[in-house]
Amino acid sequence: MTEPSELSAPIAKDDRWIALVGNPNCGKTAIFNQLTGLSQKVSNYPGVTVERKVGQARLGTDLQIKVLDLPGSYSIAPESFDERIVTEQVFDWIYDSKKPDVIISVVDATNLSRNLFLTSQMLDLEIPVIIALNMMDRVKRKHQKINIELLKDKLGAADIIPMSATEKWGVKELRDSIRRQIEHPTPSTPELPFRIIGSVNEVLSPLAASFEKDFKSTPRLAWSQALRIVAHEPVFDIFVQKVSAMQLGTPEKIKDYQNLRQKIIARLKSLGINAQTLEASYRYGWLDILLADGESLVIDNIDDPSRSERVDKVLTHPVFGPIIFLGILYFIFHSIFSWATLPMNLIDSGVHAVGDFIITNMPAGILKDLIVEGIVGGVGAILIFLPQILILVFFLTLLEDSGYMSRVAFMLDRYMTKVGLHGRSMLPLMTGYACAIPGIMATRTIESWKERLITILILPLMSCSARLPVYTLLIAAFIPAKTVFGFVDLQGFTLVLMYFLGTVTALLLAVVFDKFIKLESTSSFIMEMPPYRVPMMLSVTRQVYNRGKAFLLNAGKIIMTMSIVLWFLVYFPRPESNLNNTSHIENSYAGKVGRLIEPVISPLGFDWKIGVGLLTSFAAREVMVSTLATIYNVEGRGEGVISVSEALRSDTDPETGLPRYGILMAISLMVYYVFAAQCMATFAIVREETNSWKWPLFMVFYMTSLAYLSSLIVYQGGRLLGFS
Amino acid sequence: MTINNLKPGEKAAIVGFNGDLQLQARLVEMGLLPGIEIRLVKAAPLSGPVELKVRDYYISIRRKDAGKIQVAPL
Amino acid sequence: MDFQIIAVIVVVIFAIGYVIKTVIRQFSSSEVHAECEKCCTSKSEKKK
Repeated sequence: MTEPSELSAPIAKDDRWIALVGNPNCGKTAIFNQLTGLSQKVSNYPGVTVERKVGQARLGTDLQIKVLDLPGSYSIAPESFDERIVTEQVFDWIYDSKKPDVIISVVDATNLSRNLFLTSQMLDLEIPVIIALNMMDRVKRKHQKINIELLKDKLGAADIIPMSATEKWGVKELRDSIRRQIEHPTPSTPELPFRIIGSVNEVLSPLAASFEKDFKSTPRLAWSQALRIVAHEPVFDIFVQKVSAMQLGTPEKIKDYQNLRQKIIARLKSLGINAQTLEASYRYGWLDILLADGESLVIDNIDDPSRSERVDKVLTHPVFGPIIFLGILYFIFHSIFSWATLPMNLIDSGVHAVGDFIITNMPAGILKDLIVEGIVGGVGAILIFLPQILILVFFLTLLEDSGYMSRVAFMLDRYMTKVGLHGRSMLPLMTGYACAIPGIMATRTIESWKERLITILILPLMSCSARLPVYTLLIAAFIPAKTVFGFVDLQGFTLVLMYFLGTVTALLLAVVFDKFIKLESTSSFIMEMPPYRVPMMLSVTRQVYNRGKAFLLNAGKIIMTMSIVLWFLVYFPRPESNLNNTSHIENSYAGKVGRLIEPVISPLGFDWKIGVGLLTSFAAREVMVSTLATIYNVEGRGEGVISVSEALRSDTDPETGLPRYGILMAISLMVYYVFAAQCMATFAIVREETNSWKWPLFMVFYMTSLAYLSSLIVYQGGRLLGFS
Repeated sequence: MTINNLKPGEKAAIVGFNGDLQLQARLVEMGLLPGIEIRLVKAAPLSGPVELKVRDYYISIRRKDAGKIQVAPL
Repeated sequence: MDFQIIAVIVVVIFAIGYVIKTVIRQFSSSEVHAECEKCCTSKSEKKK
């Protein structure tokens, strides 16, 4: 993938590029993928693209262009961080001459008027606009017609290409059209398509005139900018920022603009006109008349309930809705445990077979020990968990792509605001079950900074998929596989409990953070409810495949190298005399380090072996499993690859003859993993997103304290109650 | 009256807005302008957000904000 | 020296180097957990 920053570099003259813009959830990313052959994540939740992305598209044999995908936005006026990117980008085009050759305005054909609002803003930029009229399959299914030629003429677009990204038609025509526009751009009209007359014209014209003069804009662009800058304070701030950064105006000039703006707003107010709604009124006024003109349009009757609305009668029912949601969550986490058993056993026997093959066929020596005990043992122990992670990602993708997550945000907004969060926090938090990092990125759609910050702070408490191997290992080793109350499978239930513990603690902490973080916060919840869609199997498969591939790559790189290093530290120094293996390992390099930290962790029920695992977990949480695997494989040498859960269970203290580990240690260790700050990559992202060291350091502090104290309470409390 | 006075299934036309100008800019950009018809689809429990059908799509907003949108019943 | 010993020395040195490199990268910048790279759309944009 290309770096997003590439576009900040000056673009050479023969470097052609185009930009994709559109409302959230209009299918922009799907079209981007088809143009570029990339596989960016698409979904059915408004605002999945939270940053700009760049790809390459080939138009014929001799022309390759850059394609920029921008976050979905309803307008060139920002309400949240991801929309700010769009406004800043458009201002770059206006004032810094880094213009795209063509703008592709992606429009959801089933929702024309609202989608064309942004398009009408784009038409003012003196750049040819091609409208990609997406989702035409659904217009056709409803037996509706859109008169493309008429619409094109009336809007003044360079071209309109009807297409369907889901059914994959129209992309070729889009490519051809882009090529035509690059070779022979259609000039745009230099005047606004709607007339601004009377007193509004009089009040605004000094500002428009200044834009025309100072930035050599066409009247159309000048008026367009005047309308927008008067309406939106944040847009004016971005304007000031850009003009100062590019040295297009002196501080006095900017001051003049500021005064002019204030004066205009005041004068409009005295006329009884609200500056904030001015631009929207003009544009919608124009579009509504244009679309109402007979044959060019489709308008749904607001009376007609859509199919999604009927489905929602059940899924967002005041009582059943939340119950169904909790049921779905329970089902997902439980099925991770139950469904994965068979493929996990298969992988397990595969790993053993490989180990046995090497043992019988390779001459004895230190390299053989490294391969069997370190590599096959360590990496094999982790590979087993691939099916679980795939199942988790599969379900999470399904929830998002179907359109269900917007409903969850709708249903739970009330409860989320009670704990200082926002309905929109739900998707990032659920994403956190897979991995905290994309979850933290997804918080960009939350408009209020305070709510976004709290969401980021609690997000790592959502048990990510890297914790899954640790939970599963300990559950398999120490939680009895039996059914209680006739239907609750104890092992699966314990896993759900760990997810529940992390999630509930996260929500409780949100309340605390909400009390103590003093930040101004005005929050609103305006969210489009997209129609339910059957998830595109290709897109779901791709997500699952990508995650699986990344997991395997991680196992191949980080976990394998960690296992090799660890094997070395456990294997050496070699015993001089005939000490037994156990005490040899205790005296190895790793053993020494582990015993060094043992006093700190023994109150939690952990010994030095677990201690070594806790240290190596800083590379990645799941390394705990391969660490234990390596330790036990070195210890039990020559016997073939060892089952870690079996080894944990049968590990006994040679002095007392008692088992080293019991159920209490297992629970204590799982609780530790629920809370502990271990993933350095998460804190690197938090630093980026919050732009300070304060918040990531605070997270490390609170999570570590929470983990230590909770484990301490579990272990010591459990011992007092007589457990072992 | 405001949207909050509507019952699920009832239709009304937007007349104007009271207060909270920040929100208003976003709503009008999404096409909720005076003169436009809306239908209240449903309300989330415990004074949660309301869902409206407007133009060709569904939108949900908090009840606090819905109370600032004045409507006239149809 | 035995071939196996030489091979182990090479592999272990390589592995230590790789682990150190990974740790430094994780601490230093927006480098993302390999497992997350794909689904994170792409690396987060550098703030100016």
